[in-house]
Amino acid sequence: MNSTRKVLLINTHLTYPKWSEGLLNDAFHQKAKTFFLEKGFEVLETKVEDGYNADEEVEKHLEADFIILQTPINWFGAPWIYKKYVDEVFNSGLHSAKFLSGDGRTREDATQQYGTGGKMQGKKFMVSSTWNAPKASFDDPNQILFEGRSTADVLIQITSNYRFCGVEIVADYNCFDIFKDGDIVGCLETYPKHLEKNLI
Amino acid sequence: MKSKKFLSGDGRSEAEGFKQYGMGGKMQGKKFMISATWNAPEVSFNNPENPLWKGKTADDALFNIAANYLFTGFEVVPGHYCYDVYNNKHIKEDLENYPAYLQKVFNIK
Repeated sequence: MNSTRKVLLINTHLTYPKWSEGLLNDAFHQKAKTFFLEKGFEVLETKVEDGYNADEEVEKHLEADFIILQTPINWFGAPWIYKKYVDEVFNSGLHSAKFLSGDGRTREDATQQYGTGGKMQGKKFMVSSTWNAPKASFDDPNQILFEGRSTADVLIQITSNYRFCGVEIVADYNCFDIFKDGDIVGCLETYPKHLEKNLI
Repeated sequence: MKSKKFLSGDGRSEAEGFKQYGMGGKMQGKKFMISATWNAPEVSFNNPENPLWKGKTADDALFNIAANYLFTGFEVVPGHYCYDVYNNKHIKEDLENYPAYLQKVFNIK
């Protein structure tokens, strides 16, 4: 039995020429790749924009111990290509029953909770994202837009897919305010420590 | 955004008096609502014991959609949701009740 641990690094940056070329998300992706290689992991990679096969993505998810999504925040979520990726990959994992056996509810036992039909227990999922939003706009009830929400609250539509399939969600990592005052260099430097603390 | 028809910025520019993030919208006075159909049952929401949503509401689960409208100055009114569409027996009622819901949330006389 092969005991080498595996991580799947998904980079879903979508290129907008001369506006968002993907250098920052690639820098985080490479930082994570270097980190996991140094820890002796086998690294599986997907660059959503470059294309993928949904059935193969299911297998990569099944192989991986950890899954990390690297994403820019475009209009409060991942770029649209990521929603397409999720629908195609998770539909494949649903139809083949490789990701989940159902939504958790059964005719036999009405007390079973919705969302407990996952088969991916033991795996961990993490989001690493880049934002125009400043850090101060989160976790503060006085902020009008987010009304006290955390980054995890705003990313719930991404993490729910994994939780629905039994994957544990670990703390997200966020690089804020990237166009104005954000400390991008500091964010990149601190990233491996976050990975170490939450995944190793 | 590029035409500045929806918003002037993210609300933090000098011209906007360094208002809060997300206060650069120009669409004040408009309202936005989501009408969604779910496999998820209603009991999975607002329920701290549900392991998936952990007490979150259906509106919370769709915040990423609503946020775009909040960001551009809209008022977001509570969504109309038809739950458990593969199993449930409420689809007919949900459809029938929809006009009354619209009348209420948009305050139409």
